[in-house]
Amino acid sequence: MPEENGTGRLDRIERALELLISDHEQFRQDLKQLLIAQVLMQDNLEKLTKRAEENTRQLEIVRERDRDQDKRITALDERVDKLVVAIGEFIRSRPNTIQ
Amino acid sequence: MQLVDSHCHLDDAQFDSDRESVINRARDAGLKYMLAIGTGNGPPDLEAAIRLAEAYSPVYATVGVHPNDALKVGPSTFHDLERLLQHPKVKALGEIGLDYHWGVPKESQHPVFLRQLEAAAGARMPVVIHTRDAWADTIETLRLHWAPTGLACIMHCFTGDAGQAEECLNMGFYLAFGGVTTFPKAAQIREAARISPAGRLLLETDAPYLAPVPHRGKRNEPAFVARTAEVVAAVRGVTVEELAAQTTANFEQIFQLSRCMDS
Repeated sequence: MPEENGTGRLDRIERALELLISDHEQFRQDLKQLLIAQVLMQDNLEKLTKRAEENTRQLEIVRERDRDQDKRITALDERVDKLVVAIGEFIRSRPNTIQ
Repeated sequence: MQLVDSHCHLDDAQFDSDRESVINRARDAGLKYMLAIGTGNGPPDLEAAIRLAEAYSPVYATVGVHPNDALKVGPSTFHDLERLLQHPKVKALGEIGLDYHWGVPKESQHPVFLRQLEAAAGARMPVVIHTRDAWADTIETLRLHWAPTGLACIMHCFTGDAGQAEECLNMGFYLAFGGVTTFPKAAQIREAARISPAGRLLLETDAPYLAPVPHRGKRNEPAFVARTAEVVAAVRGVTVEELAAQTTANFEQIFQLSRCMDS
């Protein structure tokens, strides 16, 4: 039965090759997906970086506004304090008209 | 943490040498406001606290004639008080009340007390009440002449028991607890502090008098209000931070202070 033995071996080799080809195809598909995911991730990462930079910029603007607000509050406090003194002087200097 | 000293005598001569430092120490200790009591040495000078309030932002003032100065009242005293109540940093009339301890005649004290209650009611201002050895008369006067106004009344340096606290609380008054609350034998005061609703509590020093433990016997100052806060917080089972926030909010509500910035 040498012929049968030879055919059988070829069949086994063919099946093994089919499996290898199928595995390779699956691997190619996986690699393709992985590359797509990598591109998408890179894209998202870039977007995220841009957003973080924008947030940092906005935060600096808010901080600057805060500093400006603090200065204004301090100036306002000083003006209120002066106004308080002025009103106090006015109240004291007013003649007592109540009988 | 922000605290308030709702009653201090910053004009007292004991602070003459280092008043600026005392106020800076108070700021460093987290005091947002100090209410300087303007009774000073009595009439004719009614502006002792106003001068300080004008000089220091966190300081607010009261004007008033202390019962022990009742005999110093002159013809223009009440008119001057009414005029000074219009000052933007004057937030209450006080400390006024009755004091039978030092022998000032009752018949002199009562009309002065009543006339000042009338002035405060006319100006829609809160009052800060002093009472010593005159509890029943003080409470009765307030029941008849102040409670009906619905205006705020602060019982300064409350040293009564839980029952007396209830009397005040039932009339809608506020209780201000000072350094005496920290004294070892002051269990009844601590009990009063324990049962008082959170919304009716205030903290004070009465500086330069009545320093809390561990400063007892020494000159008191507004920064020491933190010691009283610790004791009151402990008896009420809350944190000092919670008590500080509550008493500061109470103070702002009574005196309509809405400065939200901590400048």
